[in-house]
Amino acid sequence: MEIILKFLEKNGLIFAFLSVGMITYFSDFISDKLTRKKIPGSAIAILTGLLLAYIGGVVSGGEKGIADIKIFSGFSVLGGAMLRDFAIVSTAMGASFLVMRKAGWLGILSLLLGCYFLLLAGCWWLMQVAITMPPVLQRLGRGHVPILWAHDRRSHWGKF
Amino acid sequence: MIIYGVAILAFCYITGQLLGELIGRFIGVEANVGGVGFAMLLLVFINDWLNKKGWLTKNTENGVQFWTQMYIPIVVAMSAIQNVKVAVSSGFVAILAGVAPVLIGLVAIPLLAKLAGKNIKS
Repeated sequence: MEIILKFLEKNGLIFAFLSVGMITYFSDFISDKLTRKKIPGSAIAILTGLLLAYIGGVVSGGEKGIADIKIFSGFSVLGGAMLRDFAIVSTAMGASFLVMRKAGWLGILSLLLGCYFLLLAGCWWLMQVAITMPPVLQRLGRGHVPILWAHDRRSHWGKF
Repeated sequence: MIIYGVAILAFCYITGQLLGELIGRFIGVEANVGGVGFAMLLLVFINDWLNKKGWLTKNTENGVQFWTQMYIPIVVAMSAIQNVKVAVSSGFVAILAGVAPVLIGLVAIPLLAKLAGKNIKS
């Protein structure tokens, strides 16, 4: 048992691939059987991730969710800023200028709404509860943007 | 070759992020300003240019597509390393800060869809 744990610790990133793959499979299964695909598998997978983060936080007492449990330390690489931004940049590949032009001003509007309106809405709410430090606002406000943005792009630029 | 696609993506990432860092330094904030955006724009341009030249092979494209497909799994991993314990224990503030923008986004969708309907008819 100890040998296995040590091994998984040493190969954290690979074990994270396997774990996320299993989470995704399990989530797709639930999405398919329990909600008849009404709730997409990816949404359930993200919720599962948050649940794991909570469990990790409670078990380890740390701040990095499941990554504070040693065998899951690879999650902090896979879910870290570098790979995240790398993957976000790659999503621009499908968006050719011709398609963007077809989406027209509405595509641009929904993009701007998705980015800035939600950022401002998040900030506005935090100001209401008297949190006004700019870095905190920026971090929390921006948290909503990437996911919604990607969704935005897919629905408006992808299908036109 | 798959590595060409990955390398092109890496080139865009590095160039864009560096530009973002420089702009951040220039306007005096300790942050990357728009780096990801610049990188994406660059990728769109390079993609179009390579396409026109006919240099973009299926394999090269797959090198980028792989990362596009990995986006959601990466987000899942990202969600698993959030400090959820604190978010839950700080209660309503954090939850509402998350829920409110989502609701606003949901409200925006039918509005945009209506505008889109007009747009297509005209």
